[in-house]
Amino acid sequence: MSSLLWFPGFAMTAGACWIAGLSLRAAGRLRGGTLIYLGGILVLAIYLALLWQHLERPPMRTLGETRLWYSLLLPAVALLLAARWAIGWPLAYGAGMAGVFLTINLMRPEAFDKVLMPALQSPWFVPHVVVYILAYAFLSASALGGVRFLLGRHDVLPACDRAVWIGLALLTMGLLFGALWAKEAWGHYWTWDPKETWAFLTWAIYLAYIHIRVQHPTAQRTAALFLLSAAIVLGVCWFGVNYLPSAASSVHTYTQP
Amino acid sequence: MEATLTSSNDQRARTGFWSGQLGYAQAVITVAGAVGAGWLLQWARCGNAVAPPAWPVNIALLGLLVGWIGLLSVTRNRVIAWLGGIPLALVSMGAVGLLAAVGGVVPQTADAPAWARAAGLDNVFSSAPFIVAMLLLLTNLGLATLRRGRALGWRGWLFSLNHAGLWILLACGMFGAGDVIRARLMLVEGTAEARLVDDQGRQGYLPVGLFLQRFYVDHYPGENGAPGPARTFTAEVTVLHPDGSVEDERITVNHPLRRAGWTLYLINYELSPDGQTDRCVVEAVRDPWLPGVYAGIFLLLAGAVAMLFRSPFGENWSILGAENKAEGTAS
Repeated sequence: MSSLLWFPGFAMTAGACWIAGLSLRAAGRLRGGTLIYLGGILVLAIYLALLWQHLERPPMRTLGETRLWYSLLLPAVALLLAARWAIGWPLAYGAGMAGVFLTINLMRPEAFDKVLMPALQSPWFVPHVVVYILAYAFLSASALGGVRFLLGRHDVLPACDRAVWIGLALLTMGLLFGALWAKEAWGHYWTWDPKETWAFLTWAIYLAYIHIRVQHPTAQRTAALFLLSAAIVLGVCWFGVNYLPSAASSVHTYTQP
Repeated sequence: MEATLTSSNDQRARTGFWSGQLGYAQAVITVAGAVGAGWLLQWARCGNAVAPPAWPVNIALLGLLVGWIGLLSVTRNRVIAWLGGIPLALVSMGAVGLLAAVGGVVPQTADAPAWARAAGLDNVFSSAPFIVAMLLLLTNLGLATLRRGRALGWRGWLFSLNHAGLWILLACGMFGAGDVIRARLMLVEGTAEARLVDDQGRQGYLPVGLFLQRFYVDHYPGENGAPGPARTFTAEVTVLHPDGSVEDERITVNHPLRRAGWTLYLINYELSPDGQTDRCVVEAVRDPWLPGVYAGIFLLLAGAVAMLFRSPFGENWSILGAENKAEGTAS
């Protein structure tokens, strides 16, 4: 991501807010720390709004642009989870992951242009992408919870279950919005395009997780391991598809970096 | 609840593999056997893809499937409970998922490597093993919908919206595939056309004619005044009806034209021999099962929205039945 619109300044301010907020919370100043953490999210939100205005199109076309949304929404989801169930750990993970994505964008400057190809000029574009990135934020929060469980924190699984439940609902919406859009743009709602296939697999594996949790509530270790496998499928769907042999025939290749 | 089939203590008296409690082992053997039989069929047909049946064979087959699921659902025994239960759901979803993963890695086009073509892996989604696995999943999902959707309150609504929606979507998509027609028209400025040609070279005619008034590409500004990438493609057409009436319309990407049961998409353009953009390719699609597919999609969407408000993993509502509660819940 280039220095377009002082991106390094915005990214570092957001990062500083998150670090300060987490430090304050660790020192016992929960309310003040949370507010400063929220400030970091708002700084990124302002940057995205400016970028949207500058590009004259939704900044959702490239992987770099989706990383920006992810950096915004992961801490936001973490804040929601933290506020709703009075747990602090998602905040650190959310900020940590967002920091990784912002760093990638700082180190891999991307050429921005205003081009939005005709297939993407649709009212479905924004809801499809926003719902998907939000789903990814919830689901990767659940994957990090799975890691935490395996590291010995056995009380995190209920939070993972809730994150997967909401993530799966959003994933379903994203998948179906995509199908409705594909019908308008390409003539058919489902063609087993490689990106569609991996989106289906991601949806199916989280659907399986829910059923496993309902059927075998006591098999907690299995559930945690399953969350990690699901995260691998999610990763392939999100950025791995472009590197598979099947990608050459994909119509989703405009997301390539 | 099917959970009793997998909890270990209740059916000790019956110990045979099929006469005892039915669970994952039986599900794996059933699914593997069915998918294996699908492979044998595929192999016997020398790897040819299964042509989806068209009207009226597909509606008859769907009727048979519905009747079969309906018949099973009124019978109450441990085998039927297992057929509509979660272990078989997970194993058949696993089979569908594994096959789909192959189809998601191996190119599903003529670019597939020779070994993949030899193994029939270049056309996974219309192969017999995949269809057999989907039919098992549909049986399981249909039984679950009929048997478990009777729960009251939020739990029943959520279960029914999601499971019935998915069943309708999958069934209409699969059984309707044979009735979907996708064919192309080549339009050239100043001429009328109604003749369709599909990928297999079969020909047919649209019930209306299309006269191309003008086709043009609008570009983004590029370097040094040269045109940049395309911003919009537009085909201005006159629709010619058999009764002699005409109407002027435009077709752009993302804005297809719907006429006489067909949907017309602008999908490509070509240059004339002297380099003019005066011709475009329109894809004509007819899918009589689309209302069923959309019904499934909207039920599933309603279910997804409902999921944001109620969860089995919250404090005040639980999808977990009494049997599971007795095992001890995690949340």
